[in-house]
Amino acid sequence: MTRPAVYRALVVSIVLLMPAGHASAQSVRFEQPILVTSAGQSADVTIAGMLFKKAGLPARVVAQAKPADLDGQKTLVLVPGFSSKGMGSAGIDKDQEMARVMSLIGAAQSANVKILVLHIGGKARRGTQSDSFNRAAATAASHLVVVRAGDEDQFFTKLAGEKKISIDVVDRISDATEPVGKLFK
Amino acid sequence: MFEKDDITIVVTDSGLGGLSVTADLEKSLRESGAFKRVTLIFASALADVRRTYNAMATTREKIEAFDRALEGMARRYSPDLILVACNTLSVLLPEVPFVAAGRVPVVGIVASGISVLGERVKADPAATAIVMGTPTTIESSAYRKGVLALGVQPERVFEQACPNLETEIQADPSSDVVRNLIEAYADQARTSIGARAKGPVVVGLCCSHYGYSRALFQDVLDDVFGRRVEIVDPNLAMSRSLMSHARRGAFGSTDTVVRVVSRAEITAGERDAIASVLVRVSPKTAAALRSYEQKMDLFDTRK
Repeated sequence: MTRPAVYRALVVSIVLLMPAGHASAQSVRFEQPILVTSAGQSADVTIAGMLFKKAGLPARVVAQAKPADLDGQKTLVLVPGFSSKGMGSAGIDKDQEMARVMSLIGAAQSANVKILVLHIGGKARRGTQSDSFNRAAATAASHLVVVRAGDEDQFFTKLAGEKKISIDVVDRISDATEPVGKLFK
Repeated sequence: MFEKDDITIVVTDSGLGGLSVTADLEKSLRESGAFKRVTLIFASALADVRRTYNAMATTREKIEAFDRALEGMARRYSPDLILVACNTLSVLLPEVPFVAAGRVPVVGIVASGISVLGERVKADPAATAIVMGTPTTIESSAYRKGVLALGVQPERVFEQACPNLETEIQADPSSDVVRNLIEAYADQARTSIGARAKGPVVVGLCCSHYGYSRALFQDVLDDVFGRRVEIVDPNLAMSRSLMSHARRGAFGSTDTVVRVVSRAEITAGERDAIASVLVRVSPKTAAALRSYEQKMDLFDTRK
């Protein structure tokens, strides 16, 4: 099978295996230890690490985390957003990155590690290239935290409604610290 | 060169940060009357946006790519001077064959940056220097070595790599993402310097892109360190260093022409974002960026 075909098969199988999700933010709780990784290699993963620090939550940030990095973790935080220069710096292409992300999602689901998605890059992390990562991450999540500029067309809000995934939409990146903190109380 | 009436200067960078040096030079030269006519050509050294210098696996690969870029620019424009307004590329200069050949004078920005940062820190024995730059610049330790060579003690010079910050600045210098990335890296720097964070801190913006977000840097750094942080910008030091050699008033006026050429695509969003900053200093440079010339044969991309 070609890499895109493998990726499509992974997406289909993971979506079919996915739980129904949660009806409200109040019912979703995450636990430590926390692993933060990128889905698309944008710089947003660095910012996400800082948000957790500000929230007083120790988190391990591994931009290219692999399934083995999930050992002992209770929460996987995906930070979606495509960056061609980020991919170049990481020495990988889009298909390789998507395969890594899907294998990580699959491993998290198998190990009952909850997935939290932080979309913090706004409009710059939307569009064809980013949305494949946004969709893959969001549909696997138990909760979404999204900066409003990235949801002007309600891409995440609609997706959350369809999949019954709870969501917090905030105005600015710094506003994400509070809802993230509450999710771990 | 400074005795000539009509000169051509090529300014090069791996991104668009060097356009700020171009803009500053255009303004200074236009007001100086040092030449009858000056042609400033900003020529990007980037062959392809998917293949950035910071993404290249080895230093040898970067040197070879930059050497080919310089050869192409010299062949096409016959410049009197090439200014490397890029920290990432400047640290490579000692090993670039084109520079060693000496056919055209090539001046890098790092020397100007070391001078201005080093002298500032030397002037205040309590001050700590933090060099913020791309991974390539920081890995080279060029700034640290240079500042130490000026007699500053090693425990007073720190370095902070800021991966991908230049890319985000190029997309939108005032974005929320840029602000938060600066905060993340500033926080890492503060942690690194430990107790020295309580004393005076001088931060060098050692990537030519960073100056576009200087106001954000100032705001965030002041907040992270809890007091006014002094910022040093090598971009300004570079253009001022060049202008210090110019024959001011030799002509009644200086006619300036600015061109922006690039092999790699410069997106409409990047052009708008950067031109909106440049226009405050040099409307000609901003206009040249908006109507940039994409030249696929600007330089060879293979050996």
